[in-house]
Parts: sequence; structure tokens; C-alpha cells
Amino acid sequence: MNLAFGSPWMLWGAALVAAPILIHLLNRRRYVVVPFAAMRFLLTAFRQRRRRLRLENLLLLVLRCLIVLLAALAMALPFVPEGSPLAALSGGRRELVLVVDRSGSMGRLVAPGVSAADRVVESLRRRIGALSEERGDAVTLICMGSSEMLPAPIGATPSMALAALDGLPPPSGVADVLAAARLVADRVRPARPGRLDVVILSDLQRLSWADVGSALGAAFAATFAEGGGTLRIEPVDVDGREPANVGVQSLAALEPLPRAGEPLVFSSVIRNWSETEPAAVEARWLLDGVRVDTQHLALPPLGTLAVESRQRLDAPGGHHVAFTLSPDDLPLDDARTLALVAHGQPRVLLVDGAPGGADPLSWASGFLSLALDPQQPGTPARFEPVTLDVGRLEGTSAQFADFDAVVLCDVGALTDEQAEALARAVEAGTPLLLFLGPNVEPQLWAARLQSRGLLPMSVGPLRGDPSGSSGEDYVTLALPEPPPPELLLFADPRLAVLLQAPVFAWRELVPLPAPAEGAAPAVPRLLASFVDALGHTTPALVEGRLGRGRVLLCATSAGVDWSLLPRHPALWVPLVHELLTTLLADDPSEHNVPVGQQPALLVDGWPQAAQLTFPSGAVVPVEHPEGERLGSRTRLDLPVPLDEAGAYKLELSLADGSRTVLALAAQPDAREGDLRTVDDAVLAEALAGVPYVLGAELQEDGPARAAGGDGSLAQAMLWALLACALAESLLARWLGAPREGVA
Amino acid sequence: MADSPRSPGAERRAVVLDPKVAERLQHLTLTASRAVEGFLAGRHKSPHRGVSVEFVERRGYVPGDDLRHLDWKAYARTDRLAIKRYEEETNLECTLVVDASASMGYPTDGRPTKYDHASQAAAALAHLVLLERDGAALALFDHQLDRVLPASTSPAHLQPVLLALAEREPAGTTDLSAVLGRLVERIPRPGIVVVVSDLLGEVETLAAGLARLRARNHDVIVLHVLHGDELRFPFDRLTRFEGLEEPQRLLVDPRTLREDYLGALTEWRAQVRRACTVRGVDYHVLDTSAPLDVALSAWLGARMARLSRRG
Repeated sequence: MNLAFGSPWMLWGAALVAAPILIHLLNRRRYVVVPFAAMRFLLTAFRQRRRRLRLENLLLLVLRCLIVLLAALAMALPFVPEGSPLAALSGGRRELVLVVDRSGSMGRLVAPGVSAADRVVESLRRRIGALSEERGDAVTLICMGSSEMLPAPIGATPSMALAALDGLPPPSGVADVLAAARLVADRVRPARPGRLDVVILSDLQRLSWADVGSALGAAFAATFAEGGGTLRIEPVDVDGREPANVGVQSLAALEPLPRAGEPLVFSSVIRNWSETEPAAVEARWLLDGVRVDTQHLALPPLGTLAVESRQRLDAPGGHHVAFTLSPDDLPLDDARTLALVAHGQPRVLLVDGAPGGADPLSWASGFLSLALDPQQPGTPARFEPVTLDVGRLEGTSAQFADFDAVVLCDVGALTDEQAEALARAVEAGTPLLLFLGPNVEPQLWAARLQSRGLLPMSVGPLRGDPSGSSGEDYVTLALPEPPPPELLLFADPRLAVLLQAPVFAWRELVPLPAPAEGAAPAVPRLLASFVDALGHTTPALVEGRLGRGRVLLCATSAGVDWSLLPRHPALWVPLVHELLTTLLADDPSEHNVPVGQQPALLVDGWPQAAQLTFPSGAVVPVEHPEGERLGSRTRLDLPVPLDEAGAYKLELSLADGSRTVLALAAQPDAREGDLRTVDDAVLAEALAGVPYVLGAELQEDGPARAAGGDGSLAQAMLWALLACALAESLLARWLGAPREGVA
Repeated sequence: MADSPRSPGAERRAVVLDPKVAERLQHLTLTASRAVEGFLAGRHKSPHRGVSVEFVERRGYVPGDDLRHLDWKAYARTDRLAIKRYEEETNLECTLVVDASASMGYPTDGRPTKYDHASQAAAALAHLVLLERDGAALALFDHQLDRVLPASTSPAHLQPVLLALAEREPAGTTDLSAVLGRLVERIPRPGIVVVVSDLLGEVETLAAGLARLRARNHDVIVLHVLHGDELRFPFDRLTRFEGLEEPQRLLVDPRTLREDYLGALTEWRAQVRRACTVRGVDYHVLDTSAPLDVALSAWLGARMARLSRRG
């Protein structure tokens, strides 16, 4: 017999069984002394009753000790497994664990207007409704694929579970069956030690069930090893419908830095998950909810198709682009929304360490500024460069906050205050581009920039001949293999000649020392190298990160001091444009999160209140949103998960009284479009060693009850305690309690 | 006779005849139930018949007196009944044998003891006997005769009796057989022997002693003194009982033994009664919780009525 306890620490109460014995012993010390004449009759009576007295006293003592012992055992919540001989004594209450598949695929239609999730919820209501709160039945709801796996407490009452069903978010995520099984084993089982009836209601999608391995069976085996239980797997009844699903796999803007007023190309990939060719698929493009393009597509069975649309975002700020398909059996992946920010003209601060005269090109940043803003009438500049003598740099975060990017050109050194302010700005997300030059002091750079993590590599000794008088002794740019996305343009063989612009002098870039004993040094990302005539390479352009900001370090100058790069506009202009565009590009994942996740955003200012509008139209206020202040920006952690797929609008009220609106989107997992299910053999392999039933439970008037109870012996022990207490009371009264041992 | 609480070990106070008892008994006599011999002329039957006697005096008639000796002339004259006393009329000698063993010292918590009660009874009877100008003797005993006062008819003899009773503290073990046997030797002529005791000993020894007394033609009366606690056993707390005469101890919840104790006591009392009655001994129980005057008067009245029926 395996007797286990739900609250084993309560067994210490069994030590109180010594109490009746102690009371017995103490009582024997409290008596009165009576000199008595008729002792002979007393002794006669005693001799007649001695043996019986002893038995009676012993019986009372045993009953009293048993009362204490049963109370301690009952409070320790004993339970026995199903096969135990004592199982028949266990209580009749039912302990259900309902593992509900709430993944995106459960949104598939199984009947006109009825989804698989609807059918499962209906089944859950029926099943939970048949339970009895008076009997102590308990339900644990586990939702696979939901951001909140436990919508109700473990061991909730039936009414609590029914209420939780009403608040379930729409099915959207990916069902992690293994995580659910481990939740049952690691959290539900310790809290509910008795017999557990586990029911998994799922569409048995291959995505969730095919690769669980033996861990699934092991988790359930561990669950049922203590306390026992049953496992039933109920596939969703699909009324024999074969799924027909075409889903949107992806949606992206091809331009890394969307600009307001400029044409943008949006691309989407759709996939036919069915083995049949669907009827004509109508695809629609929507811009901020307004249809802007319609396409009619044809997909082969199990085939994919990439679709593009060129649109224009007229106003800067947040926008939503949606791509929708004709409705089919799985509405979830019939649409996908992309949230993006259309930028105006990015402001770039050029900090010049070698200001020249009236001729802008005499400045170290002159060619750079010209490349960013050619100053050609009729041709709008794509950037707004602002040149500032390093001597006029205030060294405040507020100054840097006015710019979208910062470039240092041949800056000898920054003061500690300037370096600190720059580091805070970069940490908060402001990208930094560093050009070296003759004025750069490596020691000061190491002391003030490198020490603050601003340098991806150390600035080493000067190489080459700055005068360029050596003639042939120069290097050129070379791209690594594979070429970085930022410089993909130059990977085109037709443009490779552009990289032949000579570079006469450069600084050797040295890997940073390891930050601590045994710690691995940060490895910078190499975007380009210098290569000499002999093929020797040295890093020319490297990328690092500080906080949320990216840092690019160029080993040569932005001016013509050390290279002729600026004098090759065919190279120079696209090069700096690509570099800055890359630095300024938004991270799409910041505003586009998987369904069920909570976005973490970097916003300008300090939000005091927020309001989130869901795709369904529901509005959720967020009072005092939590965030980390990073300079003039705030890293905002939104506490509300985006449970619905589609477009969201986040309205922020800032501390300075202004308001800002951000576009967000929640995107379903495209893999949920694969509605194929696993077969019985896969289930059997995954659950090897664990007895289970596959199929729906027969409808009954009451809950099915296997032989024996839920394994809990607490009730039986309490009844036994009551019987002992009654027996003790009656016996003591009959015998004339309190009894005493006889000397 | 007043009962005064007495702490164990303290000096015993004087035994005084309770006026209430005396008043109650004044119209009663301790009549011998059979022919006895006495050295003074009295109302008791003389075993000697046909002997010439001289008129000595008259005394008031009490129920039970022989009507043959009724002085009719005095009645005609005075309208009062009177009995003629003759020279040869025999006087009663009553020996009061009082148990002064340790068991008679129960209870020891200051309440009146069985010995107090026995003393009261003995004093009352002594007073009664002396009132009738009969002889009263006293014998105190434990395992042997301890103090003996020979019989005297003098009314002043009551004081020595009371003093002897008062001076004695209950102590020692009980040996009834030896005591009664010794008593037989000391009482030359048949008389009344009143044994006032709790009789806590073997019934066989009591029976043997009584038999010896009866063999000498004594009129034996047994006043069985028992305390209310012994009769009803009211104890309800865990108690360690300690023997008063024997070194015995018993720690027990009295409620567990009450039924059996009372059963044993009742059976023993029945045996004692049987032992007395089969030997023609007048047996009466004196419950210390009952007023002595009531108990004695009731007993004496019943005794007199019984004897008068016998003629």
C-alpha cells in the first residue's frame, strides 16, 4: 500500500498522541488521601475489578490516542493510489484537469460559424457543469497556446472554472503540449495530491504533437505515479471536414527605413496548406484600414506565392499595413498586419573634430554632410545633417535627444561629460557612427569612449601613409563573405569597382580586452575590411552595440585626409546613406509581436498613462505604465498581452503634457496554418508507458466515476475520528469518566 | 451530648451526655430480654422464683413492668400507677463494651468519628441504666480489653463512664473474639452486654465471641456503628485510601469500585446480622449520619415493644 500525504508536515501533529498519555500520567499525581476504615471491602472490590479496570482504562487511552492520531493523519491529507486496497475508502469528490488547446489552429471552422475552439468550450461547459461544488469537486484549467496558461486557480471550484471560460482570449498561439504536461506534473500534482482525471481537448495538430518525444509520457507518468489518475485525449470533432486553408505566412516592408512620402514596397508570402487547389483567392492590401490594392491569386496545392504591393505612406508616424485573403476554414491566418513607423527627414548630428574654414568641405565632416544633404534644389534631402564643432558640444543628453543619429568625425577626444552624455544617448537607442582621423587620440578614446562601451574595437596604431605620397601603398574596401545586409548594394559585381577607392591611412582596430577574468570578449560584427595589394585584410568597418543603440566604427576618416573615399561620390554617397539608413532602421519586432506577448517599446518622453485599443475595438487603459528611463526616452513594458491578432493603437500621455500614438500589431504564428493532425501511432509513441483513452467521454447524467474515490483518505479518517470520539465519550460516561489507572 | 470537631492528635474533650439524647430516652428503659441476675432489686425478671421477698419501695410504672407487682392501692389513692419493689427483685447489670480501635477513629478530617458516636450511644445507655438504678459497667477495647469500669448503680457513676470514654483515643487493631472471650470471664452473672463497635473484622470471630456470651446467658446487644461514608461510599475523586488499622493503600478512582464495594459491604452486613440473629443477639445499625437520639429511641422503643409482646 502506497500511502502518501499532501501535507506531510502536518504529521508532526501525531506527536500530540503523547498528550493523552501525559495527561494520564499527570492525573495520577493529583489525588486526595483518605484514611479509611473499611479497607477490606475496598480491596475486595479492587481485586474483583482490577483486570477489567485495566482493560477499560487501556481502551479509553487507546481511543484518545487514536483520536489525536487520526486528526493528525487527516490533516496531513493522506491519499492512496487507485489500485490500493484502501482506495475504496477514499472520498467521492472528483478532481479534473482540463488541458485545453487554445492554439491558432483551434480557430478552424468545424461547422458553419462554429470553430473547433467553440466546440471545445461547449464541451467544457457541459463537463464542468456536471460537477458538484458541494461534493468538493475541483477543476484545473490549463490553456495551451494562451499567454496565461492558468486562467483560474489550480483546483478551482466548478463555478470559478466556468467563469474563467468566459474570459478566454481567442485561440492564437502555439500549443505547447509538453509545457502543459510539465505544468501538471510540477504544479498541479503537488497542490492536488489525490487522483487526477486529466482530459486533453485538442485538434492534435502535428505542429504541437509531432515532436514531443518521450518527455510527454514521462511527465504524465510522474503525475500519476503519486495519487493515481486517468488520461483521456479528446480530439475535436470536425464533422469529417477536410481542412482547406490558405494562410499569410509573412508581411514585411522591403525598405528598412520607411519614409513618409516615398514609395514603399510591401511583400507578403502566402501558402496553400491544402492538397487541393483553392478557389480563386482574393488578396487585399489595406493601409490604415483602407483598402489600397486588390489582387487575385492562384496557388498550387501545398504551394507558396510571394506578393508585393507598392504603396506610399504620406504622413510620418505610426501606420498599419494589412494583407488579407478570402475567408477559409482558418480565419486566423487569413490576414496579417504590419505596424511600422514612417519617418520624416532624420536629423543627424555631425560632431566635427577638425572644423575648417568657410568651405564646408574643409571640415572633417564636410563630405559627409554633402553626401547626406546635397543641397540640390528640387531634390529633397533624405537626411538633415547638422554640423557642430566639437568645442561647442554641450555634453548633455538633451542635445543628443534632438537628433536621430550622431556621427563623430575626426574628434580628438570628448570630455568626460560629453562622453557620458553620448553613452547615455546610445544606450537609449541613438545610433552612433565614428570616423577616425588625424586628430584622434587613441589613449583619450580608450579612456573616455572605450571605457564607456562606445567602441566595438580599440583604436590602435596608425597604418599606411597619410600623405599618400607612397603612391601605390594604399588599401581598398572589401566586403566579407557573405556580405552584410547593410552593404548588400556593393555586393553586386557591377558595383564592386566602386570599392576600389584608395585609402592611404587608417587606424588599426584592435579587439577589446576581455571585460573580466575568464569572460569572453564581445565580438564585433565586421561589415567591411581594408585589403592591400597582397590580399592582407584588416577591419575597416565594424559594428557594436551599447544598450539599445548600434555603433559603427570606421577605421579611416570621413574627410580626404586619409582616403579618397569621399571623392568618389558614386561610392561615398550610397555608402554613408546605407550606413545611416541601417543605423536608423527600426526593429520591426519592437512594434510587431507574436500574439499573446507583451511588447517592450522605446518611446520618447515619460509616459504617465496609456490606452491600448484592441483589434476588436476593446479599449484597455493602463494607469502608471511601468518603464525604465533612458535619457530622454523611456523603455516601456506594456503589462497587457496582445491576445488578438491584428492592429493595435497605443495612445500615450507624456509627462510634458503631450500625447503620442504608436502603431502596434500582433501576428499569429504562421505555422498554425498547417492543420494536419497526428495519427494514433504518434500519440501512442509519445505516451508510451502511460495508459490513456483516446476519444470523447460518453455523455452521462453525472460525472463518470471509476471504482474508488479520488484517493484521499482524509474524509474516511475524519469519520473514523468521529467514531472514536463517540466511542470514547460513551465508554467514559458508562464507566464514569475520567478514568484512572489503579495503583 | 455535644459533638465537637476534633483534629487528629489533639486532646480529646470531655464527653458530655447530649441533653437531647437524654430527654429522648428518659421514658425508655434498657430492658433485659431474658432472665438476668442482678445484685440490686429491680424490675427485671429474677431467675429465682418463689423466694419470699419484702416490700421495699414503690417506683413509677413504666410500660413493660410486670403488672403483678402493680400497687393497686397506691393507684386508687393517687391515681398513679406504681410498681412495688421487693427485696428479692433482681437488678440489671449492663456492660457497655465500646470499640476504641483505630478503625473507630474514622473519619480523620475533623468530622465526628464513629468513636464519638459510639461514645455518645454508650453514655446514653449508661445514663439510662443508672436512671433505673441498674448497674452500668464500661469496657473499652481494641485488640484486648483496655479500660474496664466495674458496674455501679450509683448515679454518680455516669461521670467516670464519661471520663473513661473521653480519655480514650481510638487506636490499635481489633480482635473481637479475644475481647469477648475475656469479657465472658469477667462478668460473673448474666446481664446485658451491649457491644458498640464497627465490627470491622472477621464475621467468624464475632460469631464465636457472641456465642460465648450467649452461652453464659447474657442478653447481648450489638450496636453496629458505621459511618455514612462507609455505608454510601460517596467518594468521586481520584483517592488514595489508606487503612487505619492495617498498612494498606489503594490509589483508585472510587467511582470505578463503588458498586462492588457496596456489594461487599452489604453482603458482610448481612452476614453480621445473620450471625447475631441466629444467636439471639439484638442487632442494630447506628448510622453516624442519623441523629443518635432518634436512632436510639427508635431502637429502644422497638426493643421494648418486642419484649412486651413476648411477655
